Amino acid sequence: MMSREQLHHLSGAYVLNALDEDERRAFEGCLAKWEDMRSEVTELADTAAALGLAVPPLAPDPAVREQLLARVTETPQQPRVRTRDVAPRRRALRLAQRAGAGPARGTPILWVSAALATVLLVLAVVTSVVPSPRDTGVTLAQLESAGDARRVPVPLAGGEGVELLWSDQLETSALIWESLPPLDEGTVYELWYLDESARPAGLVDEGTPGSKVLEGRLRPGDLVGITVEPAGGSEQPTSAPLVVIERA
Amino acid sequence: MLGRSRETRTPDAIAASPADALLARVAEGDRQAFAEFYDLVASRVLGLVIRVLRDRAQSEEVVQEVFLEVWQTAPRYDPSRGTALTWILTMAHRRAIDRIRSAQSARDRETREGIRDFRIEYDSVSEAAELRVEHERVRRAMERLTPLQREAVSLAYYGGYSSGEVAEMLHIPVGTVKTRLRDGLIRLRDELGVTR
Repeated sequence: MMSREQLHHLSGAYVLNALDEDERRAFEGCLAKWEDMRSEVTELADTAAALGLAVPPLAPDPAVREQLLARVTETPQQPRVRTRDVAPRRRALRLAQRAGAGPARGTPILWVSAALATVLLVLAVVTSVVPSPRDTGVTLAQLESAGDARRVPVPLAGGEGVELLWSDQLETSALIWESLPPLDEGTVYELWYLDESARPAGLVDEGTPGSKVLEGRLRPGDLVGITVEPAGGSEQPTSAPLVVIERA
Repeated sequence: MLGRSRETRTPDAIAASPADALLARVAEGDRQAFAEFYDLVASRVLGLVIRVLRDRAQSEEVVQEVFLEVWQTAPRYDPSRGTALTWILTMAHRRAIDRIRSAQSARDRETREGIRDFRIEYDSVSEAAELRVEHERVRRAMERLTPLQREAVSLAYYGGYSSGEVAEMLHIPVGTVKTRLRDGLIRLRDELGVTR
């Protein structure tokens, strides 16, 4: 962890994207801790944007607009963040960082961190499922017809029609999809319930038909996360979540 | 809103604008607003990206990536962290730089170009008057920097060079580069009147 002085020192380079990957991540970690430092960073980011606005504009080819608007019709938006849940957001961030990669470069850090206010789903392969504590035994049909059943689209790049369905009363959730992004050989998706820790909630691979009821019990405030794990799954996430799903 | 308890003064070009109102609608899943947002700011985004990347085809790919990310993450955009324009230009700049650094291209570029003059060139005669004003404001603010600050900020922002690369090019320690980037930007901030 950098000291406050060291952090200060890096704010200009951070805003100009002139830090290397490790420094950038360390800086963002510190930034989450010192809220008052954000105002300097925000002001310097506005300043950098003014430099950007001083460059002559150039209209993109009309095909760019056309393709973009077509892609937008089939791309789900990420669920809204509840910014008041600061503690779970920090927890989520730590989880993601502990998993190794941290949020992908270019992904707003807020995205991963805020998502922790909810459920983290991790998908993994078929067989050799990590043992999960006390399934609820609820089927997908029961879940869908539950009085308090709710669903939220899951923004998984390369997947289609991915949703999380859950019922707090039944303490159960399920991941539903039309298609998932292809997996590399020897890997699976693993689903996780996330709170203070990551609880394995089952594996999904290319052979799994379009839904998976998560193993274990959904607790209030859980996030659902999805990671890619080696075949057979892992007991703890070994990579940064592809997505952390908030049940807002 | 965080950080706005004090009086807010931002340059006109990045103060709360139609772009912010449109982005709020995009966050609600409004595709029409998204199209309008694109029409309003796409040329700004491409202008910046092509300045950094130089290659038009790659730059247009980046523009598409950036706007797709805007669509996906708009519900999570936090206005207290900057205006819509700041948000998208920051994202665009970062993605352009990711492209540069992802390949071997960083080193190639360095040898190919050496230290270049990254002053903002204005060769377009059809440029809008308001843009010239903004450009002029920034140019004047840049002149208030020390030569080292100005060079470091230009190489980092317009050239897309990392602190380490800037240090090599200017033959100064990397710690000094970071310090100059920060105090240079603070100077610019004060000259441009960006405060929150």
